[in-house]
Amino acid sequence: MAIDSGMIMTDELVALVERVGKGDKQAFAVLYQRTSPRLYTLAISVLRNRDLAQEVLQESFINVWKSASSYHSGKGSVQVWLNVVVRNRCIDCLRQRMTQIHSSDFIDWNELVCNQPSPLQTLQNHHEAKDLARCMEGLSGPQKQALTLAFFHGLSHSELAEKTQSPLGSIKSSIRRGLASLRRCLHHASNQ
Amino acid sequence: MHLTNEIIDSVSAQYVLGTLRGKAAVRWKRLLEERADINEHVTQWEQLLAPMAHWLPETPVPVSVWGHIEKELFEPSTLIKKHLGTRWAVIGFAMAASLGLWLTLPLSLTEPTKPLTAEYSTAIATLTSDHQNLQWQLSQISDDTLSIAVNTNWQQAPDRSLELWAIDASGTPHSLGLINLDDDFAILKLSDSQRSQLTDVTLFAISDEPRGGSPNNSPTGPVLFTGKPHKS
Repeated sequence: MAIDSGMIMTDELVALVERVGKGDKQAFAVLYQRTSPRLYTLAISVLRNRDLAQEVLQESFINVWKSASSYHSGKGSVQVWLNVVVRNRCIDCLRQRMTQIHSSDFIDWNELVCNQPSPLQTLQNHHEAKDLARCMEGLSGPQKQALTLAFFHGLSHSELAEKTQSPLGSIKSSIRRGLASLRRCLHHASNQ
Repeated sequence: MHLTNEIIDSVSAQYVLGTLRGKAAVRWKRLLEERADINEHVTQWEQLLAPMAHWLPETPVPVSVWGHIEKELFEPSTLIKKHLGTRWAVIGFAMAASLGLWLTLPLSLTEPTKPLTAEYSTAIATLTSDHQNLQWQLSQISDDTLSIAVNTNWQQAPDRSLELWAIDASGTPHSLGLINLDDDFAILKLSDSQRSQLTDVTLFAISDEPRGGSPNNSPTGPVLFTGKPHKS
């Protein structure tokens, strides 16, 4: 089976998680090696603190080891499941701690799309990510910005208002409408 | 308060996105544990938004993270401490050692976490063959653990073994162990002496050896793949 760090075969990850669920340490090491670099980026971007990101990644994989046997496809693809595990821990961490917002390393939607080799090209196996990227492109500028900042940096409504220098009401509206549009678009995409 | 489906969906979305904070977030977390309908909306939004993370680039993870995970999950001292407490752990360990139980534990469980020599888990070499379009990616997962990934299926003859070698500046080969492929991937656990060889490598090589490895500490079969270490 082909290996490329940017393209992880879905079936391969499912097989690894099944083995991890049965206590296979080697499969756990492989799963970690193949998925942790992107999950680490996610944790860094949400927490904006590398030490905390490492703690969260560590706790997340300990949790993955303990809960792998309960994984099933209803939790989404393995990659999605891992993203949820890590990001939920990050958000819990943010909710428990007051963290300083360092604006220097915020991700911008346009940079995310333009500067990378590709959200769309490198992720040929992640149709969910492709559909989502297309649907995001259909949102208004403020909606994209608000959702991107909230997802990747875990900003609250008031933090978003401060960061974008927009009225709180506008931010809430952008988030609400953006999410509703995304859901409609993705529902449409899944029915095609 | 009666929660309509629309409200549940909207609040669940903001809970997952992380914009819901304070008491509202605490309350929603409690509700999603109590109510299946809320749990379902939260799960749907998690699956809908989580793929965004696929767009992120990769960042090398410090080796220490994996070391801490291994220590937390698999190191016997940690396990015993958790179950018996520190004092009893010492007694338990001494008893286990005296009874020879150590010998029955896998090597990876008995080795304490080593000091780190590499800062990041990263690719250290790409080994290629002259005639085939095969690439073997050699990476360091932790201080004493290497991984090898093959870019296509490799059929290993049952009576043969693949052996990884580190060639030093003087041209002397040092075995880093046998490559036991599990599908397209292998993990190599290094001894202290094997780890020390990683500091002075000019070339990595994989040779085809009799089953069990080279009988004389040098490659005896054909060298199938070679690759220089990536510059750090």
